[in-house]
Amino acid sequence: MKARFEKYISYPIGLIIALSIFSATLLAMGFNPILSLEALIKGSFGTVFRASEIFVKVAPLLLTALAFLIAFKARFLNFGAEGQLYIGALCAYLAASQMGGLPSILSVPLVVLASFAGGVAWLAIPLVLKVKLAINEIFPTIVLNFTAILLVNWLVTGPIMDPNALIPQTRAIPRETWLPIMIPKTRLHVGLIFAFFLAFLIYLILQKTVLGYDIRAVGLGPRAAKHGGIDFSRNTIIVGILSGGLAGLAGMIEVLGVNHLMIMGFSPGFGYQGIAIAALGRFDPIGVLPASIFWSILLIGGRSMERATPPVPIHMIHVLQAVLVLSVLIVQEFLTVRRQK
Amino acid sequence: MGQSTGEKIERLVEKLRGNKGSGQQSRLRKLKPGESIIEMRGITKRFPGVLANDHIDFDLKACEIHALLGENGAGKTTLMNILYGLYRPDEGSILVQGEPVIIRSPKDAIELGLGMVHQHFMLIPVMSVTENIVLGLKSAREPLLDIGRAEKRIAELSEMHKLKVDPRAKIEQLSMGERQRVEILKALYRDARVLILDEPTSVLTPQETEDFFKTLRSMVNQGFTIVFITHKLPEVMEISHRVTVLRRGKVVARSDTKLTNPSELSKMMVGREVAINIEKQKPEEGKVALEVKNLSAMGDKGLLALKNISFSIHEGEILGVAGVSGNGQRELAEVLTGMRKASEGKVYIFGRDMTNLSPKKIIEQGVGDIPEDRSGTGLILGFSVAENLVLETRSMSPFSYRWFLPFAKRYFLDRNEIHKNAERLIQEYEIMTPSVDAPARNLSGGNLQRLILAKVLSRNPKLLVAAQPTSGLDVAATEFIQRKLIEQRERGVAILLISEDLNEIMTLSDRIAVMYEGKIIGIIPASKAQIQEIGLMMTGVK
Ligand SMILES: Nc1ncnc2c1ncn2[C@@H]1O[C@H](COP(=O)(O)OP(=O)(O)O)[C@@H](O)[C@H]1O
Ligand SMILES: [Mg+2]
Repeated sequence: MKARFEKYISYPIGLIIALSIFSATLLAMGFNPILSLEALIKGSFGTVFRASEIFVKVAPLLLTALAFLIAFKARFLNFGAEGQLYIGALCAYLAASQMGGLPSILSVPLVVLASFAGGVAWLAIPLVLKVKLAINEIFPTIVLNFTAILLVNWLVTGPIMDPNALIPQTRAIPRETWLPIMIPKTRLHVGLIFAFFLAFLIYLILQKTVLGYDIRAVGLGPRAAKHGGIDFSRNTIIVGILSGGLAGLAGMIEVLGVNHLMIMGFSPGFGYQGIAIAALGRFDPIGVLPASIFWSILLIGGRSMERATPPVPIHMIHVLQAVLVLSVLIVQEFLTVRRQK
Repeated sequence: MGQSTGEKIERLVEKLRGNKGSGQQSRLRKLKPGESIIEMRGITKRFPGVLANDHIDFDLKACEIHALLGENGAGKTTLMNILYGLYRPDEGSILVQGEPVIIRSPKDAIELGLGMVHQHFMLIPVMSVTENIVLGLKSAREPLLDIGRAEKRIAELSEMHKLKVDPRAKIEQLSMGERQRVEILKALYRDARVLILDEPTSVLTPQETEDFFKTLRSMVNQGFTIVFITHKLPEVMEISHRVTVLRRGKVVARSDTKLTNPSELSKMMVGREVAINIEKQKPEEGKVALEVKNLSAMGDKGLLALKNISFSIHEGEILGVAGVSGNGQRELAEVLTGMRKASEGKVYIFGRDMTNLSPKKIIEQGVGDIPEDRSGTGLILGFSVAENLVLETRSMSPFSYRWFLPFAKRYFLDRNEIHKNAERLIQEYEIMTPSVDAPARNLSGGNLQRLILAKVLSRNPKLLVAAQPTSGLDVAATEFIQRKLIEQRERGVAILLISEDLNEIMTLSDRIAVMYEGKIIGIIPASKAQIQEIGLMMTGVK
């Protein structure tokens, strides 16, 4: 009971610490922190549209957080969600653009599969290197992020660029493949429900199935797991597939739900932010729900801080996010150490 | 060696740096032999579900060897961790030479002149002896290291106290005995005057123990004071001047060693009289359960660790493997359980060729294993007690089910059944744990071993491999485990018992194989075995 309380108390404490540091920094830079925070809150909740934008961002953030988390449970560190997201989006776009005329009920699932496969394909090399040759996954997954981004940049500035467009982007995908909007006059699409559903599914897998047991066993005690008959390679491959696939789905959500086309630099680093969100949510598939929502509030609110007078640079929001993750984790660590003493 | 290097480094840094050393407390002054130097008064420490220390009074006099005796889980380590600043007591106070002190961290303790050698060494395997010893200390040439000077000082200390070790060797190349010397040197290098040694002999061979005792005696003559934690009575009688006995977190006796005797101490330590008296029925010759033919395998360092080994075990028979550890026993157990590949030879289990199959296949064939490395191989410390108990049976009925996928494998865990199973087993195996959902990490050594035993025996194996099943355990746990092994033998289970404890081998085995340098030197029926003869074979004399 006490441990559970401490688990949650770290959030308000961490938030207070982070906001104090943030305000102090703003003051030092000559801004009024009260006005800035007011802009942040109004900017994120001021109107229905703005509030809906929070959840538009939650969908991809939640999926990349889950992607990192599921692999992390088996101690496979997938730092390549950003690249897998780009390739997932690319596959979603390529598949969707072939599906004009097909009913949504057929086309959307096919596109979903394509993006999942794309994400997995992009993780395949690090995964095989890890399982077959015991090569650490960190470097290969990071490097492939840049490869993916450059590949997509090249494609949208040339081979698949819309000849009539003024900026590097493709033609729109057929209407039938767009994800339905849930609230009129907003961009809030059903992808959000899909992401929530996947979070719940990952929770079920980890807690209620033999597979989840095996994954956690491999992560917490690889040698004892092997000794108990749990196959390291098999489980690493499974989490790799889930992880790469989830990141690919995050890309799909952006294409089918928000942009409806491929555009250069469409991801503001969702893949990397997923890692921070996974940590903020204590690597728990339910914990990442509030974490991703909170993260998204800062993203959306941060933009209106930028529009306030005088404008606070958007980078300050990134500072706030980083300080927040650090303070929550430090407070948690501090509480655990103190409890053990 | 269950923990990762990362974890070790973290704990080390915490240990060495401390949180915030006050730096103002006085060091131990010049000591007169017999003068009281440390007094712990009314120390109480609670952990979730356990009262580890219950109003303990403990005092230490200069230049004595003070034995702290008690079973596993009695609270010895906790008490000394409090003295060393690793834990804060919930109640009680500590006085050093009559002055009250607050020890917030190991840094404070070190400043006072205390040094502690933990049961599990806190050394970084890839670093050299010298690097480990100076870790966390300021060097004279800050920010540069001064390894040369440190090496010289370590060589001096090691010469002076007869703690032989090469300052340039990497920790991972050293034996357990040598690592212990490094730990002691580490404390001496920090000018410790009082040494706390937590079950120091548990990692030593009998020969090493003798040398180690010589070192301790000479240190006491030079003015050091030693707290000697142990649960072995003969050692208390041999080396200590005074003894404090703990049972279930309380002091039950305190005496000059000369004024007491082993049977009295043992009664107080256990709370009842124990006499391990295990009776065996005559073996019934069953089928051949395990047959090993010309088996060879590589060790971790790429050298041949098993050399052309052959033997067999029948159902209902215990084959004891005697030998000084490090002579291929661990590798043998690992090959049999699928954790290590054989380079040559065959393993037949109930007539089936199981050579180099996966642990999973071998488990399915009815093989159970009680590994030497309990916390790293036998259990997952981060898993709950209940989860650990189904490690090998999780995908079987009733712990998992198919749901509405009748043809599929059993995909879904039945938390209820897993919970019930655990409740039953902690009763049957007398496992002390706050709850079945508590992580295994919180259990003491004896309870971890009971947990492993419950995990393995609850699935009714037909062939059992048990490596050092009672090493480091107290009398009660040892007796419990030995009885369980005999019970299995009577059920017709074939058992390969690997143990360094010759008495254990002699009492339990039907036949005894002696291993030396990766070979089986000989196999003798237990009825004809002489302890001296086996002792000689173990050391390669015969
Ligand atoms: N960090 C801890 N958290 C929870 N329980 C602990 C912890 N350390 C020790 N215990 C419990 O306290 C009791 C005493 O343990 P310990 O001092 O290690 O015994 P000993 O050293 O005499 O074998 C045991 O029941 C053990 O499980
Ligand atoms: Mg102990």
